Amino acid sequence: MSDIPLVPEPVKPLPFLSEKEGLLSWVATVDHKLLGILYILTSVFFLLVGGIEALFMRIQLGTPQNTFLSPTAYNQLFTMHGTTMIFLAVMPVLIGFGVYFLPLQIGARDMAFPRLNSMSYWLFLFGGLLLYYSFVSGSAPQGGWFNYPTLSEKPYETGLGSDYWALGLAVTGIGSVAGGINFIVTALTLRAPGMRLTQMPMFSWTVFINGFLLIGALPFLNAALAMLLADRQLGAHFFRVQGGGDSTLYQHIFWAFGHPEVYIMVLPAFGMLSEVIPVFSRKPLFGYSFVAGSTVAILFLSFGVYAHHMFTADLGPVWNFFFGAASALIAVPTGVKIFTWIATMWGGKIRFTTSMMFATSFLILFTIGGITGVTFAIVPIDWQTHNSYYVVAHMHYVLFGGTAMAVYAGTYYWFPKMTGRMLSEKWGKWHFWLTFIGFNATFFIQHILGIIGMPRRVYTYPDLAGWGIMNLISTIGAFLLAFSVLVFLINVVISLIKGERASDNPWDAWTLEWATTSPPPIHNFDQLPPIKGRRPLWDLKYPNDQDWMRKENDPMKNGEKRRSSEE
Amino acid sequence: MSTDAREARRAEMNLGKDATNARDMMAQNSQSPQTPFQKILLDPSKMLMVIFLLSELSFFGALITTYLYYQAGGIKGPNAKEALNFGQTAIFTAFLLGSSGTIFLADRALVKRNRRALVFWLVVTAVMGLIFIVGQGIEYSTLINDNITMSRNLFGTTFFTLTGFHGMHVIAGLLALSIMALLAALGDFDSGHSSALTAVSWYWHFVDVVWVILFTMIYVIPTFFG
Amino acid sequence: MPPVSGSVFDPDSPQVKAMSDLFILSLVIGLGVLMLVTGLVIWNIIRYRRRPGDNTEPTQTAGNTRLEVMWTIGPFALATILMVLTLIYMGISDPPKTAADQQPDIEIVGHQWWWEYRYLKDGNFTTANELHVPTGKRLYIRYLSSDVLHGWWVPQLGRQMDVSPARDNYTWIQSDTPGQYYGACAFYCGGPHAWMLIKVVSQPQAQYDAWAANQSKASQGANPPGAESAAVPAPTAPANTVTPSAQTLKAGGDPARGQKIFLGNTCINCHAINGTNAQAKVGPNLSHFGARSIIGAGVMNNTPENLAKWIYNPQVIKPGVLMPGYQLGDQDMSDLVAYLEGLK
Repeated sequence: MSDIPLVPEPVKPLPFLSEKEGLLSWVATVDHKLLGILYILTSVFFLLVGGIEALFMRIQLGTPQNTFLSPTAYNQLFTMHGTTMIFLAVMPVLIGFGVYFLPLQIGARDMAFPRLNSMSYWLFLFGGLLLYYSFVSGSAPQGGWFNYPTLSEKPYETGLGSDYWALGLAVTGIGSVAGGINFIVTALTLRAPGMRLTQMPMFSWTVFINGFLLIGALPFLNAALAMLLADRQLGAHFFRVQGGGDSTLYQHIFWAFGHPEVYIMVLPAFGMLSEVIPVFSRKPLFGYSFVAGSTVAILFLSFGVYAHHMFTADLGPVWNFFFGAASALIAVPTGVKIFTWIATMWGGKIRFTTSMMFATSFLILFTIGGITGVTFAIVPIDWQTHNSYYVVAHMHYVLFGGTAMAVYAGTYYWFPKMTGRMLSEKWGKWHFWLTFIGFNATFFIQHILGIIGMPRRVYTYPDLAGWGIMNLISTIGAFLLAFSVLVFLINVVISLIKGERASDNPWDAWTLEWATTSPPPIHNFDQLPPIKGRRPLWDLKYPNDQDWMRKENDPMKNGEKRRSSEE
Repeated sequence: MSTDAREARRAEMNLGKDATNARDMMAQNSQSPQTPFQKILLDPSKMLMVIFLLSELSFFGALITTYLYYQAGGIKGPNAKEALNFGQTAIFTAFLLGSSGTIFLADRALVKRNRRALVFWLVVTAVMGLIFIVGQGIEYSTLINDNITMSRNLFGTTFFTLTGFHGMHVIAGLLALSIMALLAALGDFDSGHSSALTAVSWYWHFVDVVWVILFTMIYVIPTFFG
Repeated sequence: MPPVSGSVFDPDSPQVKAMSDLFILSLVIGLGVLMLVTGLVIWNIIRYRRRPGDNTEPTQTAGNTRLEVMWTIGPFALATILMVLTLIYMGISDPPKTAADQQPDIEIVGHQWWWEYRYLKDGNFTTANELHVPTGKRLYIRYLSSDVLHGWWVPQLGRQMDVSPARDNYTWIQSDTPGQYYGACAFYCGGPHAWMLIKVVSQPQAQYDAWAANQSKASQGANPPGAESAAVPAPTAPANTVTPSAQTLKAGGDPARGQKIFLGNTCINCHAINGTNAQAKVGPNLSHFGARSIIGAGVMNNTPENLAKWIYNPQVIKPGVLMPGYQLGDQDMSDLVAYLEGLK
């Protein structure tokens, strides 16, 4: 035991490349913490790439009939922006946090399959690089992130763009399936003694459920990609209308993946919020079983709603109504979560750290995205707003106002644990307000643009009344948003160099990752507290008021509340 | 870091007198499960295989749905009934199905700690799988000689994609079986228990089950009920 | 194009009225939910903010089953109400197709990147990019595509509909007020998808009938007087500029000579003009081009100067468009423009 370094001195917040094994220690690592950091750093890189693509697009759209970009360049940019953000930024950042914190939260040494974990990361990275190699080769994909045939088939796309796109995504997709399997097995087999499945911290629970979404949904994408590649490279006729194929079938298979994908991108964000809000409100998560149950409900419902992406495809009233009703139903578990978080804050003693501010703004922004989401479930409204900027606004409210805000909250919350340094609160507040204002300035007005008839994915637009000024506002907002990302990066760099040293548990939080050092040693834990409830460190701190002692934890008997012992 | 500092650090963590030593904890992680159900479920390797096969179900489900969808829509040009040789494929199918039986015998030999029988049955399984693949190769070359290819019509497109992906799974299984046979010959499985071997046998059964579905769908139904 | 675009909330047909009403109602309900959530969050922020110096822990409440059931049933009830409304309004906003074999009034064909309109009932003729409809009449539309997926969307007149190469789609559209309506290709179709705009002209029945009668015949300008005797045009020197300026267009171009230029160039490989040898169906039908108000599916207004620029180098105006440029000399261009603009 004595030959193992118990706790590394937090001298250097990250194991820098100059240390001992150098670059090899990163390339060859199977440690979930290093891989988690690699995931997060890579996704930040792709976030910047995708963000710069978005800025180019916003410059082009800043004024009507602008000629800054050619249609081809614009089409390539929006295709790559969507693909990058979904597959190379949002998904991997969530998987990265999952890989880092799932083993820590359940008191495990590592993931169940550390080498498989490493393979997932490298598949993701090389899939992304393959996708971006298309720019170097001179034919970037330009069929949209959905890449519908027949536009993505020869002769409409003669370059190799679709092929790079399909191959790149297949590679990352296989990595994601492997990651999903790893999450499930880890959560099921490696929990610390005493921790029941329903006692896992909520973030771990959502990562666990996310594993099922990954293994259920991504194979559909891989099947669609395989068929598309067969069409393009082997002359098959799956989606080629001239050969008897049906291009609508691709839409079905793609969205059978595509809609669960939306929840892949939001469930772990829900989990992060369910960690941040209780800790800073100083109360346990309100109604754990309802949050956990609603997550499972989303898992099942998400596979039954995909055709709301196809309401304009004239599937017939019965199908339209069925998928509309299922889509509206998914608002129920989501609504449950929003109310749960509000109730968690209710009666608490809320500390408004930057992390908590991001989490609070999530509640409002995600509700806006949820409400516009319900309007798509109402089929006749979808018939008007489909493919318009109203969708663009909705989707960014969910993915940026929702997921990105939650990831920011999670970053400010967990950064001390990962690096041993606190992120600066002063820079953090600037970061928050710039993000909040920039985001709303960019996207709120796009609701209105959609309602007055502006379709999505247009490289320019006629000079109609109001269109120019509204797009200009959106463009200015986008630059403000980009500036906020810059502020965030500066904050990270400054904090890494001379940020305040973090203690092991700077937020006085309750889950197991805070029971080890910051950053954790290579083997994660020397010892674990006894686990009798969902908040082992609370139980440890207040031995006379442990969670399991309170009767209200029994869902059948509630109402009886007890003052915590004030030590 | 000195021992004192380490002790001080540990005291600082203060996880209480009931704290578990992490080494003990890890030993408990891999503790032997109690019920047979847990035995299957809580073994990471086997669980990995089950979940992986679930995801394969999604993948083949999409391809099979596509095949059925185009069959239902009616196909112009050569179709399954005209193009395929039922009898020939039925023989090769028998080899693949038989290999499910031989790998079961290999599993039995594993439990009985009979190294020679284990290696023997693994090799037999692999050879039978290989015969199936050779049969598929013969079938493909006949079809291509008749100018029935992926690009001929929707039957060619769906037939080659579906059976091709299945064939690739068989080949992956052959690789896994060869490795298992080699390890078995080297005495790796003498303990009478191997999650890896069990996981591979499950994979092999899955490949068989998928082939039963495909064979019924592509060969049996068109030939007898088409 | 009209200076003002049509808003979803400015309906001109009963179908869109239904969609608009339902949309407004849903947004009002949604706004209520948003106010509730925002109100609760703000209350939390004000009331339960930690006071300085207070280091005690609050009461630890881990749940309340009654509350939790309530806020599960609440959204469920709301969703149910919205779905009942959906069921009712779906039938109004997209009325059921009548008999399956019913002949549509108009067939809309999507092309990269323009619209073909085939009138099947009122005289059986084909036009492009500018759709004329009789005011107050509900029209049954069939949508097809010759290449990739498009989407036909005029917010004020009817629902959005995919225009698919794989299958025919049908719906009803209607306009109750005479005027011009704006729309666009809704589904991304590659290249200059942005310039696949839709212009709908709603006319009272009498005017519409006159228009349709005229469209059914070959234009009087198709074979201008003197066309037979007009000399085969001698090639004139091409201009040096990338796009000709307005001044290069000479007043009083000769349509008869213009017709010869049109028929003598590769124009006829793609375009049709009824009453002449040009009968190709690859590009827009130009039989009554002079009566239309837009060029290039809405990228420019139809004026002689714009038309000359367009013919000279359309790639500058609508990059990616499938039409090649024709660098004609000043005289030839003036004659060709005079001919085309005479196709009323």
